[in-house]
Amino acid sequence: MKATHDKKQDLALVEKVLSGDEAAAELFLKRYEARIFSFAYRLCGQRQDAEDLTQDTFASAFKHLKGFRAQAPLISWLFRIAAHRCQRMRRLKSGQPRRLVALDAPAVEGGPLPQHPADTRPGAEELLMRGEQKRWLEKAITLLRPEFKLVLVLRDIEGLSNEAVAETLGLSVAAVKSRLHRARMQLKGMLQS
Amino acid sequence: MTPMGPQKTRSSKAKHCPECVKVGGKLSKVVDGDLKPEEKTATLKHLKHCSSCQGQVKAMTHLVKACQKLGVVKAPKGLHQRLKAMLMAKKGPEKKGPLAP
Repeated sequence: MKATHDKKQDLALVEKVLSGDEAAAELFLKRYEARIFSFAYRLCGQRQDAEDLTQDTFASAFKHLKGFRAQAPLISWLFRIAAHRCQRMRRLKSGQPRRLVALDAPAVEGGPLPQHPADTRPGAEELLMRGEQKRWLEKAITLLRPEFKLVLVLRDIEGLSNEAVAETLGLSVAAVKSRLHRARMQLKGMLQS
Repeated sequence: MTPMGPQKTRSSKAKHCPECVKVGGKLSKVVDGDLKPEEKTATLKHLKHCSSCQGQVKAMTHLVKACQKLGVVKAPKGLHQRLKAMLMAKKGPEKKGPLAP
């Protein structure tokens, strides 16, 4: 029921945007820009890159909006575009010297250096939700292998189901589960080391 | 950074125990409640007696919960306006057309 409702809502919004309704375009942006920026930031690990990727994603989305058939929710469609654009961005940058990010570098530019959880307290996992651990977790996520990171961000942070992640990324559900497990293990290892 | 699996943080006993190794490969399934019926009994039985694997499940559960609570990263100021301006600029020429007054 809910999926049908969302599908109708998505199609109605897209139709209005396509008809040139500025208020609908505004709503479209307001509804999705924060999540897409957030997603982009977690994929790139850099605010400027995330902003470029967000712009790129919306430019591409508006260009191809006519092709949106609501087979998946609009947000999944946007995630898919962002993931593709990110891959493209990474390929283009692969010829350039890689910006290496140290694990103890600030999670957000200008912010204080997060301390390694193990430096200050035992049982890092139990303290993850405190500010510094949160920033540490964000930083550790940016260091995951891209294919693992994508799945973990969509599944554990964005809250998509395994099936929705599979559809968004064009993978089998088994591949999603496998990558998710490996991402979590890698992350757990980083945080426990 | 070298990916680090659970074996780096496990005791040497857990590293060599085949049951611990098996459960280590199913941690996500345990946390997500996604174990197949045929693997559920053996896994839960092992977990009941193995404190090392219990610790791994606990750590994984905390990690997943922490990820779920991360929320949205604050977007930079002016992003909305920049996106809007970009979209309006793209829309502009189509609307006016060469013969528009």
